[in-house]
Amino acid sequence: MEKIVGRIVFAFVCSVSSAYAGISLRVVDVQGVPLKQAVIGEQFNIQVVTSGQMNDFQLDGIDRIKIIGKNTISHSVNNNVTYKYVFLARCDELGSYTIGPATATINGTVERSDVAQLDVVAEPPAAKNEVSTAFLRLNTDKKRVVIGEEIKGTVRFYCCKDDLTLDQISKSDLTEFEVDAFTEPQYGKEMVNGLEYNYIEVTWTMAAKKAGSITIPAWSAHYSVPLLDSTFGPFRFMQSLQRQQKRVYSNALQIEVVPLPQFGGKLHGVGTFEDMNIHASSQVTKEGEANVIRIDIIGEGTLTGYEPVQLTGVPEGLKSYESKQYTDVCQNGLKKTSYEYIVQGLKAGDWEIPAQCFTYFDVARKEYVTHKTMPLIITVLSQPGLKTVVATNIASDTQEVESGDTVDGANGMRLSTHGVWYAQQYREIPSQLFLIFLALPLTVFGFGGMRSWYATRQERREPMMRKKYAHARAYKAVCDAEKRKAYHELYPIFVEYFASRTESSIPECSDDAIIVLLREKGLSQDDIAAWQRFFTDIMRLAYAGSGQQSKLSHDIIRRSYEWLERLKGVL
Amino acid sequence: MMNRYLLMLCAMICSMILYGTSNQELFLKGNKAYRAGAYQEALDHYEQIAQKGDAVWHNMGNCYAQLERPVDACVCWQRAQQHAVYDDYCTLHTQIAAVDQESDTMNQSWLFWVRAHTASYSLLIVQLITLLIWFSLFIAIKKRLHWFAIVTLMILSVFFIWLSIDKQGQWCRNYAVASEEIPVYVGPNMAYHQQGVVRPAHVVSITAEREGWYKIAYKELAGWVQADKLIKV
Repeated sequence: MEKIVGRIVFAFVCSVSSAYAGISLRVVDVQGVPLKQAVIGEQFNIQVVTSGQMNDFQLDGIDRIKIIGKNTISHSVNNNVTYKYVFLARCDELGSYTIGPATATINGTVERSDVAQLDVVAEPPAAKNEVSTAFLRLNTDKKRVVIGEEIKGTVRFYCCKDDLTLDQISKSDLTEFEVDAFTEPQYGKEMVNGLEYNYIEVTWTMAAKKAGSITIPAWSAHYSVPLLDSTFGPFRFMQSLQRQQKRVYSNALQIEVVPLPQFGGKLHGVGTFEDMNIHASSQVTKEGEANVIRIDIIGEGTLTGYEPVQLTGVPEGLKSYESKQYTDVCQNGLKKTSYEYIVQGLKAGDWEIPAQCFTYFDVARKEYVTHKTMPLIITVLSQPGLKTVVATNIASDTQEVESGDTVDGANGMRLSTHGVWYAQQYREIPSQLFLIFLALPLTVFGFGGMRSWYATRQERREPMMRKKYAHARAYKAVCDAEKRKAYHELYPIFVEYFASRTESSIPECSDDAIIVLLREKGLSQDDIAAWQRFFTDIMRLAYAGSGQQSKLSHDIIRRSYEWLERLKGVL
Repeated sequence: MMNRYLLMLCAMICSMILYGTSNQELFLKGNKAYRAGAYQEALDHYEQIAQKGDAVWHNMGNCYAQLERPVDACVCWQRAQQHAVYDDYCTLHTQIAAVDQESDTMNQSWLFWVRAHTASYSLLIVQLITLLIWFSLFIAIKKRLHWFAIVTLMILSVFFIWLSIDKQGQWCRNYAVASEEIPVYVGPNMAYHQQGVVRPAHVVSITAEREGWYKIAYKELAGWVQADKLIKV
C-alpha cells in the first residue's frame, strides 16, 4: 500500500516538475526525513533529482563521504525525462560537510543545484537528552589495540517506558574486524542521569584485521511505541493495537589499531595466554591402536588468522591425525582452547614427542612470548611383547633389572627398573667450603695483583717523594748532625739533597754538575764561588781528621743552614 | 687374634649379602605383584625394603597412583625424582604433572634437559668437576694460554658453577606435598588472614619452621600452613 502511494506521489512530482528543467539536491535519512545532523557512521541518502534530457552529471562535496551504494531511477512523462539519483552514504569523521552542488547539462544548459549542509557528531542528539525514552550506546573495552587483539564490544539499548518494544538491533559495518559470535541478549537496570532505565545488552568479541584508525559506525535500534491520540474516543483500549515505528542510532567509536612489531618466527596468536600443556589419554598404547593427545592453550586471545597450532616433530613410530578443536573454561575461569590429535602407534618402542611451542604476542607485556610443553613419551607395545611382560616371573625380573625395559601393560604406568632399588650414599662438599674453594684462586690472584700494583706504584712515587721532602729531610739531617757533632755527615747530606732535587743518582751529583746546575738556576759568579768554598769545606770535613773538624765546625753549621735556605728558593 | 678378625669380617660380608639379597627379592616380588595388578601386595613388598632407592620410590608411587592415593603417589615420585636416571626422571615429571595439573615448574626445556640428565649424578661429582674447571681457568690465565682455551674454560666454569648451585638448591630445599586442601595464612596462626589455598597433592617448598607451622612458597604464594597437613618429601 505504501509503495503504491509512493509511486503515485513520485509520478505526480515528476509530472509537475516536467513543466520546467532543473536539478535539486537534498540529504535525507533512510526513512526519507530531511537530515541536518548525523552520527558518525549513520547511513543516509543523498537524493539528486533532475528533469529534462541530461548529460555530464557530477556531484561535488562527497570526497570525505563514504558512498556505500548508488541507485538511479528514471521516469518519463510526456517526453520529459526525470532522473533520480540516490546515493547511500555515511560519514566516518566528525565535522561539518557541505554536500553538492550537483551539476548536469540539461537540455544543453549547465544546471547547478543548491548545496546541503550536514553536521556529523559523535553522540546522537537523543543520548544527550536527559529525558530520552530510548537510546542506544555502543562501547568497547579497549580503544587502542594491536592487530588481532581481542576487543569486547557492547551495545546497550536503554528505555524507560514499559510499553516500548524493541523490534530489532541492527549492527553496523564490522567488516574491518574478525567478529566472534554474539551473545544472547542480557537484561538489566541502570540509573542514567537520575532516571532508571531498563536495558538490553548484546556483547561480542572481535579482533581488528588491519592497522590504522577504524571507525565502528553507529548501530541502530528499531522500536515501537503506542500511538497516543484521542481519535479512538471510547474505543481507546484499541490504541494499543496501533504502534508507531521509531529508530534510534547509537554513538560511533574510533579504534586505533597499531601493527604488531616485527617478528621472524611463526606466530600462533595474539592475547594473554597463561600456559600451554600437553596431555595423552594414555602414555602406553599398542601397535596399531590410537591414542588421543591434547594440547591446551590457557588464556584469552585470538588464534584465528594466525599459524595453526599443530603437533610437530612426531617421531617415526607414531602417526598423528588432526581431530578437533574446542574451547572450554578452566576452574580458575580462564578460557582453555584445546586441540586434539589422534596418535597411532606404528612401531613398538618408546617414542618422544618433543616439546611443543606456542608463540604469541602478549598484549599486556607488549612482547612476543613462547610457551613450551614438556616432551611427551609414548610407549608403543607390540602385542606379543605385552603378553610376555605380564607373564614374567622373578627370574625374568632379574634380567629386566639389567635390561631396563619393563612396562606394566595393565595400567600404562612404567615400572622403574633403570634406577637403583637400594639407597645410595650421596656426598657433597659443604656449601661454605665449596665457596671457599671457589674464592681461593680469586684471592690468590687478587693478592698477587694487589702486591704487584703496590710495588709499581711505590716505584713510581719514590723519586717524586724524595724530591718533595728533600729539603725537610736535609734540614733535619743537618740538625741531627749538629746535635751529634757529626760534621763529616754534611757532605753526604748536601750531595743527597742535590740528587733528590734533581731526581738523579748520587754518583751523578759531582762538584761540577752542581756548579752547572746552580749556574743554570741563575746564581751569580760570587755566589757560585761562595758555594765552591762551602762545598770544599764540607768535603774536607768529611775526609779530614777530628782536629780539622774542630777548627771549621764553628761556622760550618751556620753556613749549612744558610745554604739550605738559599737552595730552597733556587732549586 | 687374626683369625677372630677374619671371622668377624666374613660374618659382616655374609650378613650384608643376605640383607642385600633379601631386599632385592622384595623389590622383584613387588614388581611381579604390580604387573599382576596386585598393587597393595606390591606396596607391602616395597615398604619392607629398609633403605629405599629411587626405583623403589618410583614403583611405590605407581602403586599409590593405582590405588587412587595421589598425595602418597606424589610424595614417592618426588623422592624418586631426586636421583633418578634420565628416562625415569622424564616419566616421573610427566606423572607428577598429571597429578599436579597446574605444575609449571619447568617451562624452560633446556633447564629440564639439564636437570634430567644430571639428576643421577651426586652433588660431590658436580662440585669436583666445577672446582677442577675453575682452577684450570686460573692456571690457563696465569700460563697465558690461547684465548680460545680461556674462553672455553670460562664458559664451562660459569655453567658448572650454576649447575652446582642449582643442584645444591634442589638438594637443600625442603619439599613437601599437601595432603589435603590447606589454607595458607599470612602468619603462623589461624587468626591471621587467609591468603590462598594449596590444593591436594601439590608440591610446596618449605622455607621456615615454627611450632607446628611451616612457612611455604607455593607458586606466587608465600605464607604459613599447619605442619601436620604437609608430607615432607
